[in-house]
Formats: sequence, structure tokens, C-alpha cells
Amino acid sequence: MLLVRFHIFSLACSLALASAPAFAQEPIELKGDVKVVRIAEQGGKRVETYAEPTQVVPGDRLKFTTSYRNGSGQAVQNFVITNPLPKAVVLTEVGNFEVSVDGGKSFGKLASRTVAIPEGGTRAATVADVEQVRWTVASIAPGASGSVTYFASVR
Amino acid sequence: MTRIKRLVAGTSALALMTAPMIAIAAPVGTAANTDITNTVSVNYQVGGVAQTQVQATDTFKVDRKVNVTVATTDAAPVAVTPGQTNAVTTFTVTNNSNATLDFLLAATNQTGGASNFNGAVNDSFDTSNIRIYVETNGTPGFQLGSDASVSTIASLASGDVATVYVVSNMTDPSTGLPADNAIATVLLTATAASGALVGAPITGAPGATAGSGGSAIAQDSAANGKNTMETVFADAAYLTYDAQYNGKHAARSDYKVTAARLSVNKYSRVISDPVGSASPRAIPGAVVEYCIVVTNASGGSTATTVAVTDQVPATMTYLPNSVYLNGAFTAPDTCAGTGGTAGTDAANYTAGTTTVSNTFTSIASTETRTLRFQATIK
Repeated sequence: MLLVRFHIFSLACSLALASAPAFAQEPIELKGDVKVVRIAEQGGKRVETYAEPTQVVPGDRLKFTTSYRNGSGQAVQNFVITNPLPKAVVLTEVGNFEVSVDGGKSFGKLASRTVAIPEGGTRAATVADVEQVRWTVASIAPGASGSVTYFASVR
Repeated sequence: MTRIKRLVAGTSALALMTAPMIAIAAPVGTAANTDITNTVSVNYQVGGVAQTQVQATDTFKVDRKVNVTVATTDAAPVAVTPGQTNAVTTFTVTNNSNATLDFLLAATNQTGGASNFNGAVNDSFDTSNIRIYVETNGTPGFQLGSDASVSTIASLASGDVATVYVVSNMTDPSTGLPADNAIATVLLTATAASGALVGAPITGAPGATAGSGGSAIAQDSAANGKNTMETVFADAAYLTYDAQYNGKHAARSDYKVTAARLSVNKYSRVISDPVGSASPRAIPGAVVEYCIVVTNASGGSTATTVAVTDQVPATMTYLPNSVYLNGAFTAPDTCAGTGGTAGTDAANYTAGTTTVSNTFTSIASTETRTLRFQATIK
């Protein structure tokens, strides 16, 4: 688990970014996490449990989660989380996110996406075509937090 | 996506090098020890002003998934004859792991129980001198003295397949020659290993060799690191012969004996008597014609070097130069004296033992051979 805590001016220094921030007091917290999905028997029912990815092999299903928190004193808007899928995984199901099948040039619901086929023309995109996923949170109040999730399996 | 592109590129490069295109198997899954890094980027605004992008990443390592598949490519029991040497059953060993691995090979006779191809028929004999060969000479099928006799496959890449021959002799170590329709079932087991020494290149599996040595690898048992590579067994079970998740897999094939189905019958008829009866009687001085018929029934293997001997009874005297071979048999008791070849006493009669004999070179399924001779009653 990697916890990234960005103070705005330390960010500006460390990343040496040119644009000056509009405000300069409080952090945005982001935390990326991955769990491996295991199927367990509990009371005679099959349930999914989430384990640390200590043993991960091809075919395993993974749960990628990004948690965020607005630690600043001001509301933030148009909070856009863009997540290119690692090359070694393939999306297993759609969720409350938009997807891109063209390397991030355009995003939309999977059902609206098409990909070109070598013989000419296009076909409907499938989860296997997804290269990036994106969530948009309209507004996050000061102190508010949330998380976004997608599932993928190891190629 | 990436993997497919790489495969296409690899194939076309090969096509340029060698005329007959060799199908290269694609690796199975993401290679062991690969880091999977998930990076998210967030853009946002405060008070309508875009802020500096923030990022977070999470990385873990793909572990080594050990999965080997053994299968036979025989579609039916391999037909053999009793005593046949170097009879061949054929298997494939496929590395479905996400890493290059060595494999130890072991071949054994099944002891009783249902055979592989027909569960209603049991394994009924053991073969002898059971050996393992790997396809290394590039010529499809097993060639004795040319394909490598080994018990280790070294460095079989992910997705690649080695052809393995289990070769044995059709003589049971304890009961000798097996009977017609007897079944011998053999089991080939491949065990994931490391540390093998290299040998002759294996046909169709670039980088793999018919190696030697090596020792089985173990699964990492305890909890372990997110950023270290562990070994995880993911192989299937094979009936009762091999458990799931043990780093091994097995398959079976059958030998089925087809013996020659020889039968021999001997007929006699009195063809003349000293008193010139119209219906000759078996009295002293009468001439008796013997007809020996050897038949290989339908479905039998071709019998070769079939030696027939018949001692003339002490109460009879062999009639010189009366041997006739391969005249047609006519029921109930007559071998024709035409349509075949006359024998010679030099070749077909031994006076010292009063024995008539002949060796038929071969008798195929459904064929018949006859031997006729005459003797007089003393």
C-alpha cells in the first residue's frame, strides 16, 4: 500500500511543476490499493474475500481500489481519476466508470465504445479492449472522502 | 493485446528464416516475476481553477504459477504383438506455467485396474524394459537410436510442448508373453523441476533440451511477500494417479496385444488298399493321405516362420516324395494335390525320426496353409 500525501508546495517543489497552485494550504490524499479476490466457503455459501496480493498468478482476479480524501478546507470540483490498466491485467467487468479503448483519447461507457477491426469497419468493444478507466466526481466537500474500484484479472 | 502483437512479429521473423513455418506456442499468462503497477492520476479544480495533478501507484509481483499438462496423443490402444520390442506410446508434456521450467519424467506400468481407453477392460499384463524418449531428431514419430533417451526435459518455455515416447517390450517380467487381447496400461508422470543439465534440443520447443538431472521444485507454503516471487502449484489432478496442486501431472496410454490366431487341424483318409476296394479300408498295406491345415483367423497378426512338424506313426511307413504344400483344402478331409507346390524329401522329410516338416514363411490374417503327405499302414 502506498500512501501519497501531497502538500501543495512540497508537490510543487518535488515535481518541479510550473503552474502555481490557486491555493496553498491543504492536501489531497490519494491511496492506491490492490487485493486478490479469493472464493471462500462461509456457512455453505461461496463468498468473495479480498486478500493481500502476496501470491498472485495468471488468472487471478484482482480488486484495484483508489481511495481519496479532500484534506483541504475548500471544496474541490471535477475530480477526475484516470487509471490506465497495467498491461498485465485485463478488465473483467464494467462498473461506475467510463472507459477508453483508444489509449485515453476518448472516454465513455463501454457499450458506446467501438474498435476498428483489421478487415475494415468496427465492432463493439469488450472488456478485453479497455485500456484505461476513468471516474469523475463532481464535487468533494472539505474533509470528505470516497473510493473507486475496478476488477481485473491477471493475463 | 501486446502479447498477440509480439507473437505475430515472432512468427513472421521465423518464416523468413526457415521454409517450413514452425508453430511457436504463445507463453501462458503474464510471466512470473513481472511487476504489475497500477497508477492513478487525479485532476481536479478548486474554485474553478485546475490544480496540479496528483498520482498514486501500487505495485505487486506476479508469482510463478506451476502448471504442467501431460496427455497422450494415441487415439486408441497401440496394437502390439506378443514379445514385440520397442513398442511406442506417445505423449505430450505441455508447460502451462508462466515461467520456463524443467520437468522430470517417469514411466510406470499400471498394476491392474481399468485401462485408459476402455474402462470396461482392465490392465492385464506389465511390459518390460520401460523407457522414456523425447522427440529430438526432427522426424515425427519415434526413431530408436535417434530420439534421445532421457528422463528430464530441461528449460521448457511457457506454453511450449515436448513430445515424449514411452517405449517398452511386450514380455511380462513374471508371466512372459501376453495373450491375445491382453492390455498393458502405462503411466507417464511429469514433475516440475529445476537445475537440470542441458542436452539435445527438443523438436518444436525452442530452448528446451533433452536434459539430465534436476530436482523437483517445492511450493512456497507460508505467507509471503507482495513484492517477491513465490512458487504456486496450479496443476490439475489426473484420476487417482496424480493429485491436484502437487507440481505434477500424468496421463496414460494402453498397449493392446493382437496375437496371431493360429489353429491347426489334421485330417486323414484312406486312398487305396491292397485289395483294390472301391471304398478303400484301413488295412495293412493301405495308403493313407494326411492333410494338415494351418489357419490364421480374422483379426490376428501375421504369423511368420510357422514350423509344422508331424512324426509319422511307428505303425506306418512314409511314402517317399509324397509331400505337397499349399494345395487347397476341401472339407471334410482333403488337401488338393494341385495349385500348390510339391515338397521334396530333402527338405520336408527326416528319415531318422520319420518326421515330416515344413516352415511356412508367413501366414497373414484369414490365410490358410496346407501340408499333405502319404504313408502306408505296416
